[in-house]
Amino acid sequence: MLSRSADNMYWVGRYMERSENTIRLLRVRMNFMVGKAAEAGNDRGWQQFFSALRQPPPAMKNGVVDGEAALQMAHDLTFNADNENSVTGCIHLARTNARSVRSQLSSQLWEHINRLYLRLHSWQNHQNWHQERDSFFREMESSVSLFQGLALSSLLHDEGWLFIQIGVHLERVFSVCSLLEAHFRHFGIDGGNEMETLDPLNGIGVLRACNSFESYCRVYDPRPETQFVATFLLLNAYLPNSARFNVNQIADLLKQVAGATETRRAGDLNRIAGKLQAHLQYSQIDDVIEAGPRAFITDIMDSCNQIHDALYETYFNYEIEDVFS
Amino acid sequence: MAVNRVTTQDETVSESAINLFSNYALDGTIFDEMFQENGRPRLPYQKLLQSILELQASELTQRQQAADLTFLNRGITFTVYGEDSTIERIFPYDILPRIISEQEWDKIDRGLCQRIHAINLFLRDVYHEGRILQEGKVPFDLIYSCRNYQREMRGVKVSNDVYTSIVGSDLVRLPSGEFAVLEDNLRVPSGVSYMLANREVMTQVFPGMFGGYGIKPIGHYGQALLHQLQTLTPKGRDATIVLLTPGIFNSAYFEHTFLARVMGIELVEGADLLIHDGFVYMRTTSGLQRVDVIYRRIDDEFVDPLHFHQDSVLGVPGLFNAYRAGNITLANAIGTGIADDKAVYAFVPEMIRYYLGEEPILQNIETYLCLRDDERAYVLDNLDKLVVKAVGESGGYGMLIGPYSTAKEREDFRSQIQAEPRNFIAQPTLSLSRAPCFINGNVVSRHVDLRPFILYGGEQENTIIVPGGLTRVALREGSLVVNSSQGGGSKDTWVLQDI
Repeated sequence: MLSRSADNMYWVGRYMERSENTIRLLRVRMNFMVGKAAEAGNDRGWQQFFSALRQPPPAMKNGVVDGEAALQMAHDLTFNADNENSVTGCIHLARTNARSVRSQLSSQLWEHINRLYLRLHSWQNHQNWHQERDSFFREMESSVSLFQGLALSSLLHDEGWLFIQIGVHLERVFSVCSLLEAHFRHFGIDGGNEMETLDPLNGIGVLRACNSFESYCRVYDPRPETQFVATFLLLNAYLPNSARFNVNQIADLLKQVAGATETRRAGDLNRIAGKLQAHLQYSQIDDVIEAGPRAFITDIMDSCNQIHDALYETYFNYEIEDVFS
Repeated sequence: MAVNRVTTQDETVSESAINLFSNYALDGTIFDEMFQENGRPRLPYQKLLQSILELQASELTQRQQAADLTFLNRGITFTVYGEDSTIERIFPYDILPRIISEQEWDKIDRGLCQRIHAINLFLRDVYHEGRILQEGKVPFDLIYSCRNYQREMRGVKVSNDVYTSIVGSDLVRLPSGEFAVLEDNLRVPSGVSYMLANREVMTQVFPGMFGGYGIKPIGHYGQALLHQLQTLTPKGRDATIVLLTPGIFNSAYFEHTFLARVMGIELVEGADLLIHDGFVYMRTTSGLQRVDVIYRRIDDEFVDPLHFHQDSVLGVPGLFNAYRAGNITLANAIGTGIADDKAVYAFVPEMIRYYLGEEPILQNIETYLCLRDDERAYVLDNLDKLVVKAVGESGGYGMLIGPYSTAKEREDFRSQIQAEPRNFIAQPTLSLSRAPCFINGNVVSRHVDLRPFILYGGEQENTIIVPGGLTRVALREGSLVVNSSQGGGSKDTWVLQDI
């Protein structure tokens, strides 16, 4: 497959997943706001929310977060197309990348992305968005999930599909890590180097934002404890949103790509992914505590950034000289 | 003449159905595709008229909306270059089909095969011996002064001597009912995807309508195109063929993705290709892969920044040398624009006589060359009656429509013509035929043309034209401009099988 197309596929996966993450965080955050606007913990909640989405911190007024301004920022995070972490920004970019590989997507998948884009535009002009935002978020969430379903069922599972999946899973590792990192940074004691946090209830928000609260209740019990939340989201092998689960997928997908392309350049890439996979497979909560949660999480994200770079060096933008030498 | 003149054989149709046609104008000086001069439907349209009359206006409106929505959801759009940004729009679509009888089509088919064969022989001649020039059938200076004449192509051997294999010629129907060729698009003609999409959408919104008509199918265009491209290289079916697009911001980008998809070939941009040791490769995830044929949708000037426009980022540096060395086939060849220059167009009938010894089956439109003193004098005296066209422009730009022009526009063109006579031709103002369109709840008549898509294989016999083509409509009342960038739309085109 063309290198540029592989690159586009990868970003279709990443931006669709990123939009899903932003939508879920927005929904959880906005629902949490209802009736609790003035309570303690709300400030930290806003701060955690924006930092999990790689946004600048919210404006302060009289020593507390300016609620009005924060709501406006949340609206921007939904509709401002210039912000590439906003829902609209992600969907636009996903669609632009999809257009570039239009000839390789199934009609169902392309039309779905295109309709999602058109839907988003009609919501943008909606007068009572704030009143109806919950149904908006739910519609968007299921629409984005449907993208994954259509990709699974209507695409040829060749390289293109593999690159979309790599994008999806890599983005998901970044999302869960950013969210946990922000949790420890804003709710942690001693700047997040300890496992303890101020507000265990925030753990529920974190789990909900990862679509994992119900699963958590089945494995642990409904009163979240920070160390179990962290273990669950980082190291659980069966949770589709955990770092470990997604890294396993990435390592496996990368092997499949190497097989499909019969390339000899993939060594470095597979080594980085394999190393991270082993690290998460054999780590326990004690290792997280020993390293400090934020440092442990930052390490995972660093490795993921290396995987991203190595993808470019191996498949998307390799040196021509290497090929002819 | 209107309303009451339009009659049907079934006298029991409802009042409301008749009202559909209350704004339908018939005019003896313009050929109407649906109705004869006496207001009765022409034979091929009789059945369609019955179908329309059985529907309510509201039903037609619903189907029109369903069609529009389908186009939008599928992203079948073209890009309009706006003042501040580029926007995607759907190509306006009219739900009433345009119908052509088998007999009419047969003549068009034979005429175009003949014409495109002669044009290819001309291109070969002009870039080699130049016999037709030496014998004075076509003036030397007309060729060498043409902006699209590519000096670098002299003596270059082109695969199978096929210069232009993918062609879209524009036909118009004269008041006599005869089809004539208005222009040939021999470089990178577009619109074929709309022809195919129109048919697909039509079958969706009018599923019941197709049964009894006997409409000739067009769905095989993709396979036929791939086949023609494969014949251009000795590797045949094993050849690696790619479609080269300027990218997603090009107005025809939808078409590029569409064609790549139906042919199952890679859609590449200039940056995906590179030249090494005179061969063309594309960068893939598995490494570099050799490319044999490029179906390029980029103009000559942009294919290779080393040879043509230096600031072009669309093309591939070194491509022209690889081409000249015979290591890559381009479809269409470089330099074909010489034959669709609007002044050279005037000589196509001469080419047919010269190379084939036959009389042209399809006529040209009478054309005055401003290059010639006597013809220029006539044009300047009659600016208010003629259509003046700049030879190198397309898309309906650079055009003066005399009867609808202002004195200032005419003066403007007058000085332009005097400054650069070679750059202008003039033709009588044509009354393009009109076809029924469903607009705002009424059936009204609008001017149409026809662009059939020709796949030339080196002989008249192996030339493929899918029956029909793209019918473009000037949606604005009275307008003669059918280009999509200027208020034009399109409709499905049916060629009927003789029953």
